Amino acid sequence: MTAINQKPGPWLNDLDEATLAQLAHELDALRDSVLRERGRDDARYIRRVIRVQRTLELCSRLLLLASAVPPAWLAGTTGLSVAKILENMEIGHNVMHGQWDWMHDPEIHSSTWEWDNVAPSAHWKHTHNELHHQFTNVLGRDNDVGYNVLRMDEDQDWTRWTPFQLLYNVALAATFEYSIGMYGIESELYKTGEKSADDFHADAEELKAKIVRLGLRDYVLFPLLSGPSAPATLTANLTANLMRNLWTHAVIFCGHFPEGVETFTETAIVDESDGAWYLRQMLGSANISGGRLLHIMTGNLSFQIEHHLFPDLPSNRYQEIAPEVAAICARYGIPYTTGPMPQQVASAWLKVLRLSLPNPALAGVAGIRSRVAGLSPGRVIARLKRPIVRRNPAPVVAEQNRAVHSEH
Amino acid sequence: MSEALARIGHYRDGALKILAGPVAPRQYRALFNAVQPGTARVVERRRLTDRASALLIQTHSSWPRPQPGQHLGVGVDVAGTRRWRTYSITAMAGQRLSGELSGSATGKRVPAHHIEIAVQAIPGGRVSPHLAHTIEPGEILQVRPAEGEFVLPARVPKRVLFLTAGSGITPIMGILRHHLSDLDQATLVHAAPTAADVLFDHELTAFVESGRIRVMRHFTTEQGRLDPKSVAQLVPEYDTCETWACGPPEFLDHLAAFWQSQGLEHKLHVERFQPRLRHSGSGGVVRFSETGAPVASDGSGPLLAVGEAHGIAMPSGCRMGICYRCAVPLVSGSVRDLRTGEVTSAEPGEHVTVQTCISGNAGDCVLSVPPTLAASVSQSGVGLMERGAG
Repeated sequence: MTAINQKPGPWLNDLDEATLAQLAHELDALRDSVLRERGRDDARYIRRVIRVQRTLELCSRLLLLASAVPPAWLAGTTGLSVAKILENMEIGHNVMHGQWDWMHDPEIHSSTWEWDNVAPSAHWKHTHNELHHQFTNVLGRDNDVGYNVLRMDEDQDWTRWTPFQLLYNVALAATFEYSIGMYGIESELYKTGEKSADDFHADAEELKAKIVRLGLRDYVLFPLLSGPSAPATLTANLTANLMRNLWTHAVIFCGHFPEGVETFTETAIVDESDGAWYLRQMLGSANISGGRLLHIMTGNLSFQIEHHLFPDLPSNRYQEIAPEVAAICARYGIPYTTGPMPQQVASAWLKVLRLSLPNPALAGVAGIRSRVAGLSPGRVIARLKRPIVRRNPAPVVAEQNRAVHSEH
Repeated sequence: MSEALARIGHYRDGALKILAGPVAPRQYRALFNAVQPGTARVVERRRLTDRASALLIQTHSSWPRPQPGQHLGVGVDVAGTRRWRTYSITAMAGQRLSGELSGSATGKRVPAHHIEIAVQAIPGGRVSPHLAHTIEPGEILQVRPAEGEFVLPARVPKRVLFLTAGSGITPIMGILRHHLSDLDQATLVHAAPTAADVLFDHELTAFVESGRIRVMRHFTTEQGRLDPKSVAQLVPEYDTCETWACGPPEFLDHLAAFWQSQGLEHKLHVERFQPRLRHSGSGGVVRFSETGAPVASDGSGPLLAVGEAHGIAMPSGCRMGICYRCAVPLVSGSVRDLRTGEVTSAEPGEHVTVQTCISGNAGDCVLSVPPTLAASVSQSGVGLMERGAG
């Protein structure tokens, strides 16, 4: 997959401005319809999730005080993992997006929320809300995940470290919160001089303080409180944080890296209209299909497309507007990428593996495979990209575009 | 010894903070008891008139005991959004509510750490109709400590005159329930549209029976507005009384002017009590901090651009309404979401932030751009906000 504006007949240039304006109009209307209904039930929803999360965390931590007993360890660790995932995904991420600011409750507010993740909220709000959501999948601008250490696009340079990127990704997943924390202090901007030394050191101090505080909690105080169960509580807390790291990494990889999701160049977004921005969000995001539990555990990022269109709508509303967004996509011939979690995760990891090879080798692999299968190289690349489920059959015109697009 | 204990307590609090972190320990305590410092529970809603109800509220034990006549800020979630209003306290712990109202012959006492407020629904209001008609026992409110200077002095004057109109009776109820035995020759003149609109009507009658106060009811639909001249006719000795008055702004303005014209302004104590009118039109005066210079803006463009055009170091991010980097507190006034036309307003104390990149001012507004950033000329602050209902 190459950056989209370098392709003939690319997606972003495919719809004329009038069509894009119409698209923006329809999506704005959809947003307004949610805003009109947003109210007491939504407020009850988030308060209930927060109450359940805190109750679960409290009970799990209490259970782990006796973690030397294996069933207590197992139940406590499971509960704590789930509580930590809920806290980061359905609560923290969404609160920090300002999805609940309309409640005017200072305790559930983007300006005050601090999450259970070593990356301080303030850093996250800058790198995630401001950079990632504005410059979604724009090479060189969106460093939300991967782009600094992983080669996730043919247009990124292949270096001598790239062959090992599958291993990097394993390490990234296991230590995900620390990666986010490091990424939040923007050391590369400091190195290039775009970030002042004062700002960088202040951010680094904040990060360090939070790592110490959370480490003290999970790896010192709670084990100490457990008395004879101390070693078991330590492993339980390590496990819960590891589970949360693996899960959040998997969910975020599903959002922007499965095959079928597009990347863009900086020139593609110059003077971008509202409609073009919406279009880029839809082309640059992928959903995960599944049940209610999956949606809550992913913080409704299983509706990544809806979230990227409307990052500040309450997360409990994404599911309800998803059919309408899919219908709009179908009408305009825009792909709506979705699939079950195992498939999307596999797709993203295969991409990491595939792009660890340099481009000529990629073509070579494709060539060998194509001779075996009797298919053209382009067809094979298209096949490698297969794990895309489009909920709506796209109209004919889009089908042609996709064919062109697949060839490159 | 006590120093050592204090140090232990200090370490314990620090440890609790880390254990509960990043959440405050009180958030976990709230799982067991919803009434925490700063919050309160609605215990009972009792109908006073067709338009008004009294709410019995349980506060946290740390909530400081109010003085009779004071008011408090109440935060209530209406349609999911927290709104703050100010209401007078009509009864405090230990005081007896009238038998008629509580449905028993003797009347029950307000339990410890409880207060009563009274709310009259303002037609079209956002908060008062909810409090007066639909809020249910068990709901949690936010409460600030009571405040206000509308209280009787420690030495209660011999002759006291109370002048009230509409829901202006509420602080006087708080005062009368507490001070009735301190009063001797007191008079209350209360104006209401009709007899059916008089709040606490039965209790007023009970007060009269004590022989310490006389009550005159003035019905404006029959007798017209209660103006200072009618007061002078009803209570010819008004000029010898210490007077406490509460009601709508014109009522109080007329009284203040009259008392002043008689050289009696030192004898008049006024509690202002007014639904705030919202500016829904476009354009007005914007301040980027509470002490900032006023800037005229027609409201058609984003406040971010207005601020930047006037040399204010505005925080900014995506400039398209998605990242919330530009969000700053709205101290007072209204702004309009330029995308949807939705108007957001702030009462003092409400935790309202607005995204300046997609908001234009709707009328006047005051923002609070962080002081390290605001480089605007400092000058006198905004006028005192009057007490709100509505």
